[in-house]
Amino acid sequence: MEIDAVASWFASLDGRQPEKCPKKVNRTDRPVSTTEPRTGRWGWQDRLLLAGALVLPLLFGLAYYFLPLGRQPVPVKLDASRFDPSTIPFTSRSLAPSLTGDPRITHVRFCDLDQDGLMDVLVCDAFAHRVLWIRQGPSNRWEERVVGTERSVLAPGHAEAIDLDRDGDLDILVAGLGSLWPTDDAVGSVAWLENVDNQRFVPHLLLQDLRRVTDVQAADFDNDRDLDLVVAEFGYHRGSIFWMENLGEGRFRDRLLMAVPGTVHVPVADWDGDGDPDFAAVVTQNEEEVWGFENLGGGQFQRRLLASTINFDFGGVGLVRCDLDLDGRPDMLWVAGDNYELLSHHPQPSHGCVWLRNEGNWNFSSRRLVTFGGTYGAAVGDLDGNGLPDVVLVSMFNNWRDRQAASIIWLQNAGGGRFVPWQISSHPIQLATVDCADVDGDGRAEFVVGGAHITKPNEPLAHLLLWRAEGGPTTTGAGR
Amino acid sequence: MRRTVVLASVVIVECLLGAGGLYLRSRQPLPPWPAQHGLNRLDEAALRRQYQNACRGWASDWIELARSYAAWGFWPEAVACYEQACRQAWRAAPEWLFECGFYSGQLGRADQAVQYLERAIAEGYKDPEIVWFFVAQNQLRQENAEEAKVALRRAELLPAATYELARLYNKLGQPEQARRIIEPLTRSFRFHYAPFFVHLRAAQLLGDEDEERRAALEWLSLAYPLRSPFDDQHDELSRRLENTPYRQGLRYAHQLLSDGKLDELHAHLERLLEAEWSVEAADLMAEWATREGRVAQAEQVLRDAIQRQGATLHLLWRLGDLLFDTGRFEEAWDVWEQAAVVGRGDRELDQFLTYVMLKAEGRGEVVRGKQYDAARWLAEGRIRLARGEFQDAAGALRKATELAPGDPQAWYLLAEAARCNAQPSVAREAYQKCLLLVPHHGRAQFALGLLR
Repeated sequence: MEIDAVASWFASLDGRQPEKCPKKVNRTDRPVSTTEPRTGRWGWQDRLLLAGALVLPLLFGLAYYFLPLGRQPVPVKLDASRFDPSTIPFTSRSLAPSLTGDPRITHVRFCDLDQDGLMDVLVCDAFAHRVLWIRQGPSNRWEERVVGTERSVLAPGHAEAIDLDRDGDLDILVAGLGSLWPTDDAVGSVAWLENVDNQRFVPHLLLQDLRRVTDVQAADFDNDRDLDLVVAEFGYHRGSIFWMENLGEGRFRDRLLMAVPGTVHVPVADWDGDGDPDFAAVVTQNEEEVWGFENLGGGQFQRRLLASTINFDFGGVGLVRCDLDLDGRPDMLWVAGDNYELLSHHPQPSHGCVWLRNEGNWNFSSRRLVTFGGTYGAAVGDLDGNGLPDVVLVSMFNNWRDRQAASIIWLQNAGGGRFVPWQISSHPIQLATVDCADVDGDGRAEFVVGGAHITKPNEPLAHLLLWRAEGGPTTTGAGR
Repeated sequence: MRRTVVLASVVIVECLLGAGGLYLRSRQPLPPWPAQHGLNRLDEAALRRQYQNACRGWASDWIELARSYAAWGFWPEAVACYEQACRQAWRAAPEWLFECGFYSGQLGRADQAVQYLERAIAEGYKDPEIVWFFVAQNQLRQENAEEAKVALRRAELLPAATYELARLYNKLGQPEQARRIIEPLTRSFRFHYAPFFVHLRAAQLLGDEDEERRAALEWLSLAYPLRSPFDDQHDELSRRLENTPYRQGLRYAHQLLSDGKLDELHAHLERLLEAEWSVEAADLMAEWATREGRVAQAEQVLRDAIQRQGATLHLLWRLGDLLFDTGRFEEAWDVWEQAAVVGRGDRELDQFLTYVMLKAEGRGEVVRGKQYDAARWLAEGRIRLARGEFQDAAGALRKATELAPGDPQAWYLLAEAARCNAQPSVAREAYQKCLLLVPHHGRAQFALGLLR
């Protein structure tokens, strides 16, 4: 039937009715004239061509359907940050091999807690709700001691060694997150682990029923010769920055300074050089800002916005006090690398670290030092022993599906404000925190990193590693 | 003759088109397969099937694969699939363009995101306001304030866009403008904290300390977030992840448990745990062992789960239960005490404490029972306060203060609940009680100062 229809259409091209079907043609009634043009007849060529014209689309369609695609997959850009390998080799060793379970180290800090002249490490382990003291003994031996448990602080997020009661030994101040996971619930706390007798620590809960607390720092803000505290109550959607006036005998009165969510760090320094301690604060939730709090005396502070961006996805994670240009004025490193809003994460162009250079009189110029996906921790120390402070950065959320993606890099201070990035290692992955100090007294800084396993992939992970540079200083070169 | 020529031409054209099509198909790239995906065997098999489907080359299969990749967090692969599907389809659906733009933005490729999103609008996406909202977000990512403002104005039917616009005005140092924009939203969303944040920021920028204190107190008290189109995307991804084979397997295990098909359950759980260890599967295995009377095995599974995943209220509650039922009461109390500490932020804490209180009373341990009774009312009050159920919170906290009148936290939280519940006199009295117990309680002083 269809052939008839198509034949009819073709016949119309010749201006005559087609020969329909041989059976229906009465050849006796209508003898074929020898003069009749042959164009009206369907020869075998026409029939073949017609059949081809009809069948070919079907054949090509089937071939199209069954023919496999090309061999090359569509190109995918993973956006992982990689750098040239460091010309100084670094080696690592585990500091706490007994730690088990998922690594969830939220903070590491070098300090000489027992004041024996050897650097120790304070560690916050949010997995087991413990504060650990990794004590360095003679001959490079390290031993672990638990100094805080869940009874004193839940999910510790930050610990500092400081003589809070001014009795000559170092106590520990702990910021209690309460929960590693985002929540606005009042689960946070501020704890003081009082060093009462040769590193026997007694916990005191200074403040509880706070939203998640990420940092607590001590300084004599009101100039009454005792140490007050400034607290970053991160929360989630709501939070605050407040200071706690030391009333003596372990009592503190909290005073709200600014209601704002997402404050991660509140580093204390004399930012304006007027002789009294001020502090800065990095806000990372809702807004991406760095604030300065100028100490006016008598418990009064004046807020100053030092740096900000309207890029809500900047990913601020921290603020580190430093003096990169060695001009005697404290600078800051504004660290960015968070990106966990949508069940997953990905390195962003804004990740890395920005140097906020103190120009004096509360003016800070900003300069990006490096773009490094998922940066979560930064520390400053002279890694190559050339007398200039370098920067170590660790990444939590680089794209780990690229096995060469950097997890630790250092920015070699080549002088004149020039910093050259070098990749130290691509493993372990998911590192949350780093601190730098000259542990062995050789004039070059070592650094310790802590891992926090939040999401896949599940390896290679580590809890706590001490890294040290081997060999001599490197020549400078351009990193990627 | 003419017919033959035409027919031959048709055949030649068909051959050319067909050959061209086949050539193009042979040049068409394969879909990407994520390197180092880290998926368990069950989920990988399901994803592999979708990948094979996409290998047929149809745009709709690429889109399905892209959506699965997006749910797993393989965003670069997802965007590559979306782009390929949009290229090869006769006409790219606006939804595909929107999704491609959205995930490009998540990857930080803001410029590309804006292009796709604007194409989605041009192609007639059903909710252009939502697309404009994300266009604005990508303009903000590039710090293009003016373009972001324009896009947010186009999306201003969405409360979230109005909120973002007001926030942007604050950031640009125009707090009065921000206040003007947010005012209607503040009235419409009286119990949502987001609009009050704009007021708070405006007051901070203007140096209006009294207004800042008031706004801060209001903002810190309210419980409800303002929903944004981003939340919809989050929910969509969560829904997809909930329907992965492994998650479905866990749901099926629950079904088997409730149906009492223990043999089948055990085999099923072993398959799940072989594919990937998870705390949910381990918990179910412990439950199976308990029901089968294999107490030692159940205890071992729970302790292993705690070791691997960390101590949680749920796991410790279950472990304590197991110890209690086998007569190891002191061990059970210890474990439950730890559960009460680590479960401080858990939304099931009040139920747990009630359960433990009943256990204590059942064993005639009156003192312990009273302690847990006070603790459970405090926990319930705290949870209801966080949920914005101020009246119920006040009721629970009132009981907590009756049972433990020397607990300043209970008085403080009661005051907070009463203040949020518009009962200033009750709040004032409770703050004062709190301050009698802890005279340096800064937050109580702050709130009481504002109530006066």
